[in-house]
Amino acid sequence: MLDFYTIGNKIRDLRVANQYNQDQIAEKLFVSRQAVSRWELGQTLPSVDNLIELSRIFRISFEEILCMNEPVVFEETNIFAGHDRNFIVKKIIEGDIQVDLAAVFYQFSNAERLVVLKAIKSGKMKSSWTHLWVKLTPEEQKYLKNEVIG
Amino acid sequence: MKINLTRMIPFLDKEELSLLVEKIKASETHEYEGIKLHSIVPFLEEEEVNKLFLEEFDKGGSYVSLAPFVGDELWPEIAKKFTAGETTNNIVPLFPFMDEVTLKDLYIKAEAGQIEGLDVIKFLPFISDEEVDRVFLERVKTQKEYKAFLPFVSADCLHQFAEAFCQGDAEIDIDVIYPFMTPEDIKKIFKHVIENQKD
Repeated sequence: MLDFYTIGNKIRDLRVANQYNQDQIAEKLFVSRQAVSRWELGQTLPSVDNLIELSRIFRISFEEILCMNEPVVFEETNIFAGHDRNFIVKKIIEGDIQVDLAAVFYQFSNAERLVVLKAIKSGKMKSSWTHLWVKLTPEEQKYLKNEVIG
Repeated sequence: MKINLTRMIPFLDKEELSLLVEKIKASETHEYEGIKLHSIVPFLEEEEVNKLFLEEFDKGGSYVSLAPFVGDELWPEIAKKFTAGETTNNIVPLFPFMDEVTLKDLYIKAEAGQIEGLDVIKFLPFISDEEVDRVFLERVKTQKEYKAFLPFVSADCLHQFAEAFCQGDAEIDIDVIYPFMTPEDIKKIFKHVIENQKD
């Protein structure tokens, strides 16, 4: 999964660095200015054709626009800042981002916490839940308990 | 000296806990000495919790906070009440705690449109990957809305779309699907499109 929010920032930075405004980019790609705005806000991503066209306009590779080779940088105090929340949750579950889950678990929404716990429960996420245990609500402990402890 | 009853809960015996439950149930404020039902349920027998849960569920009370402590044998009954239209309670908060079989059954019925007002998307974080993929593929095939499924669809399932697209399947709406694929599949798609543009 791609990080919509980071890519949006990248497109905006590239547009500004290349001295274009949103209208000019929209005109070049035959899309609306609102579409460009939505890309930059991380609400949607450009189509494959438009992204290839953007890479030509900015003279960089599509991988660079999609931030595919960049490490995910985040602050421990707010791991979601500057990122798509779904992206961060997915990366943590897949083990692509190493975080001290117990230390940052309070930053997850209730639904996100359950998604992570489900991944632990199903064995999809290889995580040591022992440190996390004390950070869980009694309901969450009960949710994990049957499967993990047996 | 006033005794803090909340701190005493773990040390109360079965009869004392039952007495406390009765006092809470009889109270207009649904608490006794600051203690609510959900504070006691971790210390009750499963059978007792099931009974309490059913009572609260039937009167539309605070059943959600009791859900984690309910025994799996109760969930089919709750699902049945819901599908039979016997309750208008919100059952979405119960999904994480339901047993796999009951949840899957509800999910299939919701997808088939047999349960009014229950959005199948709400199931996705809690349903198995296989079921998410199966319904996703079915929705793509029947051209039913599938975008909301994408964050939950497995990488293996989306890989099939990358392969099919690169083999010339023009039916695939790759612009919608590619953001959720693996980096390898995304690269493959972009390279394929770039190569085709050269031709």
